[in-house]
Amino acid sequence: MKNIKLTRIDDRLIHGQVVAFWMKEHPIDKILIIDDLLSKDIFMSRIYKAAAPAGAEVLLLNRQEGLAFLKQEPVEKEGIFLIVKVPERVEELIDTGIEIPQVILGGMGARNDRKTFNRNVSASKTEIECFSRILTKGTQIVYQMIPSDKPIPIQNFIK
Amino acid sequence: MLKIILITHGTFSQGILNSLEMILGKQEKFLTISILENCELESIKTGLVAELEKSNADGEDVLFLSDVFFGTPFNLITPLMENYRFYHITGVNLPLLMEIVSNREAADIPAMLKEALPLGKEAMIDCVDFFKTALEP
Repeated sequence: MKNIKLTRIDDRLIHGQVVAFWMKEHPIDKILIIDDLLSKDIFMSRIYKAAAPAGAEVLLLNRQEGLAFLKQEPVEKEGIFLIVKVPERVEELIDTGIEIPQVILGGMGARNDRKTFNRNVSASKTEIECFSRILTKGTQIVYQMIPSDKPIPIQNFIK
Repeated sequence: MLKIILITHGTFSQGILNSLEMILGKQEKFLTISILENCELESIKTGLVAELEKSNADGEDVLFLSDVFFGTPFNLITPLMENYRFYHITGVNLPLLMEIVSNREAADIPAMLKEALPLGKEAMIDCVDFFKTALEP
């Protein structure tokens, strides 16, 4: 399995300086975005690839490709920053045997079917249930915008 | 005249326009959009498309200004590049804004922006350092 240094749920994906702050904390050379829609969007894929900070590249894969990529043998000095938009992507990976001990929740935008929990996080009933299942499977989930923020276990506020 | 659409996190856009107008007077064709917490981005996107369609029809150039590279306002604007042509500068500061607004009627917009951008960058000065020699005893 590839070396995942950091896993983040944030529908803003590569959001300005936020990503840069996180990359200072871990040796990361690949930002892997797993999103079916975006991987098919040729135009936006090119935009996101251009967002790669110096020393890193952005990979935009669909779910199957993402899983196949992560299941590969680890490469020395390679560090992956996995970013997805919703908890379901994390659960799918865990269920297929990818080890993800911790997930950092950064943002899920407001939507009609979502309840708002704080200024950055809204979640629907099915998403909340998905979070619960992920927690039961042993993965920690904390809400944390940038590394200097105090991480808050999501059990504290997503109910 | 160059139509300007300024989009920022929070009310920075309204604030900076307020500051600009204190110095250079009331501005026309200057739209500010504040991306507030928990706002619905889809409706803002629809509004931007409408603005671009209108400007297209009027034969008018549009300049987008945003606050942070790959921030939320920036990410609202970039997908529009697929179907529309416009100018877009991010990392906007007041000196840059003043420079651009003073030259809105320029015939050659790309040339005008090319000259304005370095002035915006040079506007950020360490003041203690700047006055060091002058204030030496």
